Amino acid sequence: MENRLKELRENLSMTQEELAARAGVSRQTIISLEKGKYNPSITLAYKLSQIFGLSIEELFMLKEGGENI
Amino acid sequence: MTTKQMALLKYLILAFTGVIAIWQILSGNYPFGTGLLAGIIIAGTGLGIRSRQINKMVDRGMNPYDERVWTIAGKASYASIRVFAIISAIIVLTGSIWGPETLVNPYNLLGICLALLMLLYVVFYYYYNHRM
Repeated sequence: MENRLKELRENLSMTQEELAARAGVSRQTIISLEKGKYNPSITLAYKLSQIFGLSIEELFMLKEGGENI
Repeated sequence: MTTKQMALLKYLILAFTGVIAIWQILSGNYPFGTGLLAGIIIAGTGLGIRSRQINKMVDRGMNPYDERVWTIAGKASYASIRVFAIISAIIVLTGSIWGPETLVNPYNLLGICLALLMLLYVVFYYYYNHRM
């Protein structure tokens, strides 16, 4: 799964720690999400999209060819 | 269970083990007692440092036990139990065919099994933590 988390966070001049606090997760989770290493639950994806005022589809994109679930 | 309750439970277990260690030293079983006491001091120090880090994270509004941690813990548990079952099955099979019949202290055996399971869990936890 790809996402625009880093780009949007930097546009808002927000630190990873601030975003983690707002989403109610650890900073490590934000780092993993930004690196594309971790796929969030629907609840976390929803929370993050609300923080950035976007829809989930605008924030998270499935990679070309899809991936195993 | 909240983070504070979990920390309190860990301290209570450490205190209980400390009582056993002191009792063993007073009973004359110095190697076991002092070894246990040294382990408690190391574990207590580590627990104290970790608790302080967790409290700081909670104060800043973060959740140290978020969904990613539980995902990693789940994967590590599953991998540990699978590897443990395979190792146990191999030992039982090969041992029952070729191995000598030996008397084993059941408490020692249980301790070894527990230590192996914990070791596997820690290794897999760090592996998945690095990958995710």
